[in-house]
Amino acid sequence: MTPVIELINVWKSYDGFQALRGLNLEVRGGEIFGLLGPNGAGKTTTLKIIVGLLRMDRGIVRVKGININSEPYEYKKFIGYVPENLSLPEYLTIEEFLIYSGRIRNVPKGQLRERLDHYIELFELEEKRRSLLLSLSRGMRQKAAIISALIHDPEILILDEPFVGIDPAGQRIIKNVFVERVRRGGAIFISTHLLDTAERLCDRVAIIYKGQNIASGSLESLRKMSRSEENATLEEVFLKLTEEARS
Amino acid sequence: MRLSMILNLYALKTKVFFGALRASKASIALLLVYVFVFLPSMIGISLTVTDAIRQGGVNAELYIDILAAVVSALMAFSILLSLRGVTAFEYEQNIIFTSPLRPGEFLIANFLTNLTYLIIFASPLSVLYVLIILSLSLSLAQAAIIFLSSVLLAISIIFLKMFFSMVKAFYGKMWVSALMLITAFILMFPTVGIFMQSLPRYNMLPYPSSLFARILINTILHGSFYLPDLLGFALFFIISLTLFTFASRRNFFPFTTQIPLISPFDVSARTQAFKMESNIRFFSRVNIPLSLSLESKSLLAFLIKKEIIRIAREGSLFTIILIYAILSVVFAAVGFPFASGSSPLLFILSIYSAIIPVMLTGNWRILESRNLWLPLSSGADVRSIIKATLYSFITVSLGIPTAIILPMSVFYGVNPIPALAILIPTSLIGCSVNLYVAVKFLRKRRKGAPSFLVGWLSMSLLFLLLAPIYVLAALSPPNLNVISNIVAPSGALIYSLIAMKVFLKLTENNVQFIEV
Repeated sequence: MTPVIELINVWKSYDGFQALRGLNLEVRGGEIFGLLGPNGAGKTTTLKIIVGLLRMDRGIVRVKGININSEPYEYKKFIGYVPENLSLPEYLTIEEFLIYSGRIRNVPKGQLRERLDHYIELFELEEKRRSLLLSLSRGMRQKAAIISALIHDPEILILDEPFVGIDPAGQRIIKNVFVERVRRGGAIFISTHLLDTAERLCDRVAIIYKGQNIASGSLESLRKMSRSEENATLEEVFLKLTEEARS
Repeated sequence: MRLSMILNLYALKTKVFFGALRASKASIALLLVYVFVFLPSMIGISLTVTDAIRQGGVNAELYIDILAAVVSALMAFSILLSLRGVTAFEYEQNIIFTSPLRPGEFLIANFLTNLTYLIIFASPLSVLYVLIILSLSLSLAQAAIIFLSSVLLAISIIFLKMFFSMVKAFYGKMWVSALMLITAFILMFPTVGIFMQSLPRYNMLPYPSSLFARILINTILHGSFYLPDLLGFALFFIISLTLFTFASRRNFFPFTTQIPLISPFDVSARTQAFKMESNIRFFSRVNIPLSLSLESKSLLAFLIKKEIIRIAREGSLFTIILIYAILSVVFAAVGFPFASGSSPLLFILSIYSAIIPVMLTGNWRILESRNLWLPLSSGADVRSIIKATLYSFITVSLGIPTAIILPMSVFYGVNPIPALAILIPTSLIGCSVNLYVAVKFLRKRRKGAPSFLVGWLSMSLLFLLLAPIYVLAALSPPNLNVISNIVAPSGALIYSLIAMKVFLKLTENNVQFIEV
């Protein structure tokens, strides 16, 4: 299957810190792909480069075959993004925020109204619809950000720690949305520290360490790569591979 | 009591409170600005006082009244602060209150920290003291009495504040608050007597503030003071100390109220954003009937509306209305004399209208730059977002004063063109220059640059660009003729529009390269 996201030999440094060192990755359509790694491995930097919030020093990134360096805007209509350090326009209500999010992405008004009503109901935010984002809990704000990433019905979702602060019922709803989108051929690219969630949710994962991809593939293939036991968990495989990379 | 524990805690509290000064040079700059801003007033007061004393025309009673009123106001303010009960920062509740530290030890460390804050914040006052002592050639004994009585007063006020806070924390009933409010009122009541001769004044009453003022003024004027005043003041200190000692034996840890830690000179973006959040909480309650809906036809109009909503909900709109309401009262009081191109009121207008874009951009930078991830990652045309931001700034900074000045000029039968010829260029150039500088800082990844530094840079650039307009306004003949009403304002308008367009273009070019 052709990759919807491709990173080829991507390098990035800032403030004297080498965040990425020739990173290679690919995410395919119809899969949930997990990006794992210890703190400071370069996960957030990777996602920010793909969505255009950071510029790489060198390398190639293609989204749906579009080189993001030569065409830095057009590809963004295919993606929805939720950052790790969530900052939202707190002076807006949930509804206003989602309208803003849809309008700047040129979603037709009729579709915007329909999707807004659908997701607000699905994510159980009806009661808080006209509440300022400032007054919401971390979990509700996170839900609002996820709806904002879905509002233009993008083919690819890029999510940095999407489950932070969300209760188990909310997490279940979000996972169902992800699975449904992947079934329709979409791709989900998640960066997370929750290894048990990644194990259950992701079709493939990549483990990055000090800005390099040290292993990627399905859990099966990672077990083989790390010479782990047949029933080894993702956590065990992760710890083994990162330990090997460290030594 | 373990002295080492108290000193360690004192050092920790001081470091935390003044942490911002250690973290950034900009914070130290702000502290120096604070001190220097007060210097002219201190020099002015000392010159007035010493001149009056040298000329022998001093009314000691009036001086005592005024000084006692100021001290009473400080005491009343500290009582009002005590209404919050005993307050503690989150780190104190989580780390210190859960350690084996005793409440008394915490209170003493707290007292020492409060004293340190006071010494630093009252540093401009020490300049006043030194100037008065030197210019009147007071003796060492006089200087020592002035200094010691002031320190004792400060300590007593801190003791009392801590005692009242404890009372409020333990017996947080209505009657406690009522009692404290009545005490504050009694302390301030003789202020009225300064203006109404029939009422008792401070110099007639045995108030702690009056005792202190009598000791200080008599020492300065006569080189000595009355023993009853000293005894009374000493008694006040002993009572404060006793109350503090009594309070320090109680375990108040479970009764503390958590307050956010905001260091006074912390100019970090995080703290500024925190302050802004409090503004949103407050101003969103006084909501104007404006909300973001799907109805706006063009994207630009929609984005301008969104920015105006932000300006309203974070409080800038209210501040601008307040500034111009006060200015209009001042202008109305002097008959709205805008006929002359070089009127002093035009100067005031030019200063205030230049401050508005700084405020608008500063708040945008604090609140909105963090949210740029959304348009930047969405593929939206960020240039249209910047354009909408600029247009919203211009709408607000120009719309409000115009809405006030035009009806007033009609009412007073005065030509509004000289005022508008200042307002329009300041708004057009001011907003575009400020936004450009803010975006340039963001592009250079200097998100943490303090707003006041960015503001100064923008103001300098703005005044440089406005210089030709000011020259034009000053040279325009005051009478109503074609040059002052058509040619000069038209020239100023064209110049401003060109400057705005240039800076908008530069900002649009820069915003696309912001990394967040």
